[in-house]
Amino acid sequence: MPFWAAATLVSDSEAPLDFQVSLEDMVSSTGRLVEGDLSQYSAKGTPFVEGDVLFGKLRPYLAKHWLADREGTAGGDIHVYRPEADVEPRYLAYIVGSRNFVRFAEAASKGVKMPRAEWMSLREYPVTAHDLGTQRAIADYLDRETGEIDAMIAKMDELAEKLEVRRMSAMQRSTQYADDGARWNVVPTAHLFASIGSGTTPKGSGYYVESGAGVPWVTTSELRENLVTATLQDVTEEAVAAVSSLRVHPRGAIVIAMYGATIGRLGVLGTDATMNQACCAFSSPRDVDPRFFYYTLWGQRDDIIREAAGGGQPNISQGMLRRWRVPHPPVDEQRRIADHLDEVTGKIDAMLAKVAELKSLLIERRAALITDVVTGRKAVA
Amino acid sequence: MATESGRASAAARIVWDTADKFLRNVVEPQEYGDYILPFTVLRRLECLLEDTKPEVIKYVEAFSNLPPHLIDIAVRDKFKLSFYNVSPLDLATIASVDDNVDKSLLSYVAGFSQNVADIWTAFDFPKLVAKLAAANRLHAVVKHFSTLPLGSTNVEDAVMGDIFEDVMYRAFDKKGKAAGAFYTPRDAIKLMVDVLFSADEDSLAGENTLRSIYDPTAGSGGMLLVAQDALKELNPDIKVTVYGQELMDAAYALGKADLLIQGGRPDAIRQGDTLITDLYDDQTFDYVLSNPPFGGDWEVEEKSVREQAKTPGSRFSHGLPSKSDGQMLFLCHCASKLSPTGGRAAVVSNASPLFNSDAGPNSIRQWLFDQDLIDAIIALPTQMFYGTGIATYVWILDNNKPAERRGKIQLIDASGLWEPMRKPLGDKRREMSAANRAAVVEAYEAFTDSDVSRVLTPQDFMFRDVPVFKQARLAARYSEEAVDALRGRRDFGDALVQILKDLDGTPWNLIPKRLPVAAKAAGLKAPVGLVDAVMQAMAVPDETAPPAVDRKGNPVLADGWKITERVPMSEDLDEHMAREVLPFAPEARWDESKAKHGNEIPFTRIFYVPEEPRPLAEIDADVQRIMGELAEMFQGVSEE
Repeated sequence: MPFWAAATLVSDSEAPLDFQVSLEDMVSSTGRLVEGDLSQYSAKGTPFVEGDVLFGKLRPYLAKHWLADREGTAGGDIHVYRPEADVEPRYLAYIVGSRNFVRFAEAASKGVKMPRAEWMSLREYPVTAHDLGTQRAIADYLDRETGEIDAMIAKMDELAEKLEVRRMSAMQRSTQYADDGARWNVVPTAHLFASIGSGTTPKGSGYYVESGAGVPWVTTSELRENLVTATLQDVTEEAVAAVSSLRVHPRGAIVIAMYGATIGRLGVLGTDATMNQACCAFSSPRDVDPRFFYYTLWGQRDDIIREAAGGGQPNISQGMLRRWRVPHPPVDEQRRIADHLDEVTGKIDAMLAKVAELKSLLIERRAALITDVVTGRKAVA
Repeated sequence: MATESGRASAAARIVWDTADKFLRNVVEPQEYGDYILPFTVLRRLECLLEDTKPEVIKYVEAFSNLPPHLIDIAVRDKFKLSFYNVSPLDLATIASVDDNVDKSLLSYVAGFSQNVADIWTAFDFPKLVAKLAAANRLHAVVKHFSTLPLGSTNVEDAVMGDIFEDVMYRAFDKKGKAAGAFYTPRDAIKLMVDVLFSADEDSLAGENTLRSIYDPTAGSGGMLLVAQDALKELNPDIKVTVYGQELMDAAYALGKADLLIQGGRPDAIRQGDTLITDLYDDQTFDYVLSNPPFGGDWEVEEKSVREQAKTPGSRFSHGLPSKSDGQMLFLCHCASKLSPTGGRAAVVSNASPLFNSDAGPNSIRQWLFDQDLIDAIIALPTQMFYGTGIATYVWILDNNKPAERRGKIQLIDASGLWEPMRKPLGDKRREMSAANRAAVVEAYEAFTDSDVSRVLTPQDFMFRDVPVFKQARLAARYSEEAVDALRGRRDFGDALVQILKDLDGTPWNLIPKRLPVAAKAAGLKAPVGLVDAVMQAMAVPDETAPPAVDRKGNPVLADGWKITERVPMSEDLDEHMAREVLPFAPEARWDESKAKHGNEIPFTRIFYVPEEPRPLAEIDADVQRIMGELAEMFQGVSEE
């Protein structure tokens, strides 16, 4: 049957009630609202009651839906669907959250830059008709099954977290202590690198070009414990020539984010590159294996950030990094430890990749199960 | 071809890199192109004129008292040159002394014939010269260009076109995506051209074939040149004449120059605002190509366009879009420029003209449907254009469709037919390869329904929105509330209460018959107003009652249930309702007289197919496998 026969689009407009839901309050692809306070607004909205299903019609591919558990008002760009008397609200919510409904809404969208799903098209979405008892059985079954899958997905997140803790602890242990348990001597980083420096954000739009067209320009968002081979934006040779603080750091330099959302995160230059003022690069190592140094900084991340937070502003500074003391075993030993850590982190990274793969499979399974059951392809016991 | 374009690209690099060297630190990098392009053109024109220049100068001197346009004709007749230069100077001479270079250069350029003089103005050449002179670089630049071998024996027209294009794109690459609006990527043009000509391949063969190609928003002339080349490839003997109009100075100069350096006519592109003045007012064309601005506001042209629209049958008389987006004006303009003996147009648009439901766009689409002008619409991949990543479409218009396509509109979904670009340019990250384009042409020629093609009729896109409601089912019930509701009426009195009690349980539809009879028997009056009020007061919904009709026999609508059903004009209304509405709402009634008519081309909707998820067993097998692998990997980790 067509969607309109299963639910009515509520088209009333009323002054907002105490409980208000806006588009930003709905979390993509989950059927949930954000945790914590929801946004408040004074504009009129669409009233909903318990059992109505809300769907974000702006950029419908975001797959935002919510089964209302109380009455309230929905803000702009939210469709409120009221189930007919013979339609189970939970069944309706599973339909609205299903991949094909979202894809249909996308295909039924209009708008050049900001597509919005059109009710006149969306109302024709084909819904498999079931009697009320079957709908309830389907909803019960899916509540149970998706609950189990969700629990498993949460386990995957926990597993990833544990693996990261393990990786961190291996790095800390190996870089701080010798095999006999003694702590290594520590020295300031300024003793270990002939060059410690940063960069800048050159002014002038002509200084920037597409990735690959100029000299790579690293920003902190690109530091993710990775090899940096290309940047989102490059700067021109002219910019490098004209702006003296825009230094080119050599391939192999270790880069740390001094502030911003990625504070303390690291990268290794896979190419000669410039960087903005929030990055600090260590190059020209003396008597130090850069890989060992990289693992050391990674292992010390929390300490570095904590030290930074002690100042007036929670920023790491170049001065602080120069003074920062790191363990300094003999260089042969450094190399041995770095080889060992390469192996350990490599194995854990491989496991983390598998965990991510597993998580996406479970998400796929959840979507496939919902589609199979609501379309009647899979019968529920 | 590959080697030729490879050579062109190498040549372009020489032109660019060396010039870049002289411009560095004097000119902003994003302006390099503004300097390099005019000098490249100047050198090419110089080379083209070199052989006959001394004779031309003598010849022209002899006619010095004649008006310039007559001299132009004389030179064309004698030397087969469509333009010329009468200055004794050339770049090499100017470069031989490092003195008064700016004055000499401007005097040299002033020696060009009238028909190409406006290029230098549009390029803003004097200002560029002054800037280079002030920075002491002009001499070096002139010297550099004076040595470039750009003559027709060294570089064929087509190769010169490639060099010019390459330099233009380098310039544009530096400028960034803001410049993207003026350039249409070649792969998009090629697709338009392939589809445009595919229907005409037979008629294009043979000797003495003449064809005209027109672009009302010619930009830098890319569409005209690609189309011309494609026609010549189909038939080397064909005679092609290109016509363009362009508004923007810089693009006009580039377009005119691009055509000139490839041996085109000097007046092939004219400068002006197509919406205000069609500079080819009395002409129509075999082929029209256009990539008009999307979402471009036409406030400047509004007064003129509204005035023009008043003339019935004129290009803008079929409806006007909102002032904020003029692309449908260009669509109408292109339709008006098709040769009455049969012309085809390819026009780029964004999604808005497909479905914008304002009165103007609606009536323009209706006109296109009624005239059967739309042959096909092709959805391109997103991220195809330099200046924008949004969804775009190519409308193929045809005023003389072949018999089998008449009354039909083909939609082709090419949105999935693309390759990623190795090096993105502005917003362009995808390109359509020759194979991708061939797939589109194949679908076009097959003209059947497939994954990427649908053949429909204009009536499929025209619809009426019909209000649908339910007929109430009512029983007559006596209640205190019903009596209270009637108490305010002058024609109601206590004497009637007993009659209402007696009517309890009577079929509601029969109240108009039974109430007056009972009233008369009791010696009371029951005027029609009272009957209606009693019916309303005693009405109670009752699923078992027959559908309710009022005193006059009209259906009574149920409260709170009303839908609007969209019914394509290609479907019979009653059949549609019987199939799409009545099975789910058996009580539904509709009122055709209240239907609102409209049209739209719901492109993406038409190509929607539900997705079949992977079988659960298959997913579960993957989950099992990865869990096993994880366990195994953990062994390796924990053994550390």
